[in-house]
Amino acid sequence: MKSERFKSFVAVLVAIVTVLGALTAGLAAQASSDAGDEDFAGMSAAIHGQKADIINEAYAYEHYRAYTSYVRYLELGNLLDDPNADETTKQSLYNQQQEVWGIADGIMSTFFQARYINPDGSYDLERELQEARAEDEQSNDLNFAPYFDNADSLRTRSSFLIGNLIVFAVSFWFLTLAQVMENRSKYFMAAFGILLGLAGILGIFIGRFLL
Amino acid sequence: MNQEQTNKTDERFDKIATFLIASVAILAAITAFLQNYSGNISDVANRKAQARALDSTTREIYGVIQYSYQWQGAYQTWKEIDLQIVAAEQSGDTAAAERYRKLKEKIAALSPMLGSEYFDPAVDLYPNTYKYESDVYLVESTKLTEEYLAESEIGRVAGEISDSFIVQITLLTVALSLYGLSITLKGRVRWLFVLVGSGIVGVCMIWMAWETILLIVRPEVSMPAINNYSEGVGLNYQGKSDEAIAKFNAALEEKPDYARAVYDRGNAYYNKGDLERAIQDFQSARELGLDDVNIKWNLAWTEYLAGQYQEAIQTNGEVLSADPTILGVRMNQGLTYLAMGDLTNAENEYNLLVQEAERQVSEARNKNEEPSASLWYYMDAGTIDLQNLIDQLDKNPKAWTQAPASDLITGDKTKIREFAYQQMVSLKEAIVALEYTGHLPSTTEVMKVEPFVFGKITGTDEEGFITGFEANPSATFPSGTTSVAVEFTYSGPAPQEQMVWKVYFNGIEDQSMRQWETADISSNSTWYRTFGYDYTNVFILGSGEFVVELYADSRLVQRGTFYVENP
Repeated sequence: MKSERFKSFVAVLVAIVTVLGALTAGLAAQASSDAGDEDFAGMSAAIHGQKADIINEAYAYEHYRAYTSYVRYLELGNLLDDPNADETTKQSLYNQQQEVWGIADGIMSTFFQARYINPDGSYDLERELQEARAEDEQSNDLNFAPYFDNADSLRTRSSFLIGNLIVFAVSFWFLTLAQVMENRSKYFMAAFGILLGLAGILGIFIGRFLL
Repeated sequence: MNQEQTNKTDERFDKIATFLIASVAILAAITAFLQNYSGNISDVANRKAQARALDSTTREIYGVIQYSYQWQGAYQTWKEIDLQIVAAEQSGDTAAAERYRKLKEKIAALSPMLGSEYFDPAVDLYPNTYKYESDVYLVESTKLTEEYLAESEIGRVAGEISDSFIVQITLLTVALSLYGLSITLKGRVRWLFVLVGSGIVGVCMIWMAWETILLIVRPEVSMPAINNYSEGVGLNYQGKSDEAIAKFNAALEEKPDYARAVYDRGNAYYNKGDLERAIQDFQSARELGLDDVNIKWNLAWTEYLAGQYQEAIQTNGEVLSADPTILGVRMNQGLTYLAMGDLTNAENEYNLLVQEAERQVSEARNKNEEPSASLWYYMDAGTIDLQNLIDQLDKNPKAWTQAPASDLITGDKTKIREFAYQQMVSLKEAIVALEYTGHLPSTTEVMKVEPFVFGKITGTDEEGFITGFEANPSATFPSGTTSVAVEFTYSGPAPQEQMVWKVYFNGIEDQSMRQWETADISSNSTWYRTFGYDYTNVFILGSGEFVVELYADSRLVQRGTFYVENP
């Protein structure tokens, strides 16, 4: 009668370990699936980011090209000033100067923004790119790194939980032996099985809440 | 055996079966862990591969955008001002020339490509764009592409291992069910279930051990190898073959089975003119698994140049048997047969080539589309290759000639030359006809043109008709010549559709000089055509060989050569 009670007790433990094993597998599968979702979200952010950067780069160099033309006409106007020329030439140079400075001004007002011209006359390409990026970040999530980091930690959780499944399997093995053995060793087997089962439960908590 | 004994036996069997089930559960859990682990490695590697592919593409686009600005924004502006300086000097306006010089310096300061690292205007005609492109994006994007390929390989290997673990788990489930069923059975048959189940478990254990070993020794991303390879690609792009070979060797020391490093080292040897080592490397790269159309195409071409005709025919044949529409390879096949003196097979190949070209043009035109530009490109290249072969047969190779050395060409050289010339003319006519009319040239009679006479126009009347022409019998003009006139006299029917003039400068067509006209020339038998830059005081004709071709109704009716001397 005593033996029958022990067997029933162990059978209940085997059932509990089996359910816990299934729970662990379920949690691992969930973590693995979430990792895939995070990867997808990260890749989407990366694609959005690269797309935005490429467009911004193309526009910025388009503006820089206009700035190059601007410099060409602006500097040409500066060089058209010849104090040693005779009056007729001076008037002609002045007319040309007015024309090319007009073109330079027209290019600046239409094809790029004057605020990117530094005090020394150079063009701040980097500032234009960074401002454009900041503007894009207001409308789209362009930062892929947190998603990929999250995916990596979810994969670690998934691996840990699947590893924990081995602990439950060994626990199941000891409890099964306790079930089929008739001598006193069965109590040691049951004790090992229970200990491993408890370790497995601890593993579930670590995997689920600490990783 | 009595009932009690039977019960005891059954009980013992049940215990054994239960023990086996519990043991297989452990094995299944370990296999599941390994499957999850390898699956994670595969997923992470594939994600990294996607990210690297994206980075590589972006890096290249950035680079092209930057290069586009440097070339067509900064350098074009610089060049325009440079031409303004020349024009101002030609007109004697030294003040304007000086202004433009100062302006040119201002523009040069806007572009790194116009800096001293890439451009010395006192020595160079153009900035070193190859070095600039290599520095700005080529090496970096190559590196990222290689990382993408390496990560993809890891993802593929780990993915396959992960898949095999899934199969093992499935098999273990079958074993578990066999053990479970054995408990419900009586007699010896239940042992059969246990035996089969245990066999499956045994196979799974060996398989799991093997796949675990494969997982441990899986490929890795070798960054030193990738860095050396990428730098080698950049150096090769700049034409620094020896330095590139050193880099590829360094990459191969890190990763001896690096197929692309072997292939690109072959390309560097080819650029150096070391055809034997190039062939060896191309073949080694194929053995290492890089066996696409591109490598076969290059291998066959190198074998052709080295006089290894049978090998070249076999390699071209491999490409054409997979895709007979690749015109470039078909052309090389014809050329190879020609160089080995097999005129029958050469003619077959060229006939197939022209038929295929006509088919592609008709197909495109039927869809109201233009044929692919690659068609003209490959056919033009084919005519240049034939001209190169002719130059070798004439023992008159040019600096740009790419053909087997004269002593490697076998068979009746007179017949080969005659055939090569006929094929070149046919191809050239087919190109003009397909490009301008969409069908092959007709066989109707066309005008006969006497050999060209090159010289200078010395007078024109008020209506622009030429009244004076000074012939240059040597057809050699001094450096600084701005234009050369061609006098041509014809007999027979005047062209019905069109006349096309093509000018080849040092072996390559200068398309800015191509002329196309439909004017009626039947009113006279002698006409003139001028090629050059009389309309500006900025340009002169470059030094070298100019070949002028005249096509009447898509038929090549005359070609002639003039030369401009070095300064």
